[in-house]
Amino acid sequence: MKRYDLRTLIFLALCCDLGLFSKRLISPAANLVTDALHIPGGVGTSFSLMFLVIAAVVIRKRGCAAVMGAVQSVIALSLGMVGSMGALSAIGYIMPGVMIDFLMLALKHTPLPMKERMVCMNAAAAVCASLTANVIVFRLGGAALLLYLCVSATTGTLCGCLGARIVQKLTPVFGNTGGCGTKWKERAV
Amino acid sequence: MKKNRVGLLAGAVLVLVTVVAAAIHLTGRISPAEGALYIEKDGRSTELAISDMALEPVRGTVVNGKGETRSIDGRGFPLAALLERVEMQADRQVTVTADDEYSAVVTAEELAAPDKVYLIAQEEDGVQLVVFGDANSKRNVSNVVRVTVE
Repeated sequence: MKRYDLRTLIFLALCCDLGLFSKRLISPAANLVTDALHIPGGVGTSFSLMFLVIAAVVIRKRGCAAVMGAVQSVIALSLGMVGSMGALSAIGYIMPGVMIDFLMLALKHTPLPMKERMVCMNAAAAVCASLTANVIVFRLGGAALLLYLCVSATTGTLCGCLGARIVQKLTPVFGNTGGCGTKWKERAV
Repeated sequence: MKKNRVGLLAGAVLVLVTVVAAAIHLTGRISPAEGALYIEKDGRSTELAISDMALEPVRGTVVNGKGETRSIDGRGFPLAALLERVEMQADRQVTVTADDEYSAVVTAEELAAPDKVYLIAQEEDGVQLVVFGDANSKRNVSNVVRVTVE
């Protein structure tokens, strides 16, 4: 297993923190949408998962997103940011990470450009997070659940596009990332 | 260019499905008048204005998901009193649903217990369900709009 260099670790830590705290930052705006639609959430999570997708795409190590999700859950538990999921919030953080890693692997040999892959990963991770929250806490059903998942997928798609733009901007910074040996520019969006 | 078109088409389909889902959800959901609660049992339903209920002081402590204790000091009424008022007694359980469809279930035994299940007035409009004695306050549903009695 290749070791993570210091720059990569700092970047991963930054993405973990951004993913965790950005949710709170955009929650007033996200609440405007969710309150209008009468659903319990789905927008903020999609945005916070964008940072996991960015990290997974930039670093490109197997299990990167799941490990980041686990780190986020530890930070959230230690800071008491567990919300209504309580101790089970760890599952809510790890499951989307697992989904991102799975799609990173599954889409690896497809002709899809990286931008589309990021959109797929972000949308799928957002839906996965929403389903997990629904099983653990919300227990929605019928049209409310369908709308909740659709809103998650749509905002996940938008955040995936935004994430792809951010990765493009990061290209000059991460010319050769994560000790993988290949130039980010060559395989990027 | 073709890939872009496929991506845009997929995005448009997703937005369309979301709009349809929103239309179904928003038109199909039961929404009582502002400041009222919708109460239903066995296909029978009624709406009751919160202002029609006599508020009494409610004090106690609840434990949140972080394990922290929070004291409650407000005005409200027992959920059992609300059901008594509309003559709908709970045989098994009561499901209390918020404006955002978040819901919590209270059993008939818990309802019967004194000083346990209250609906308290929120600072802004609406009422919040408070269940005293829970190890985690996740049953404290805010912005309650619907009460389903079984």
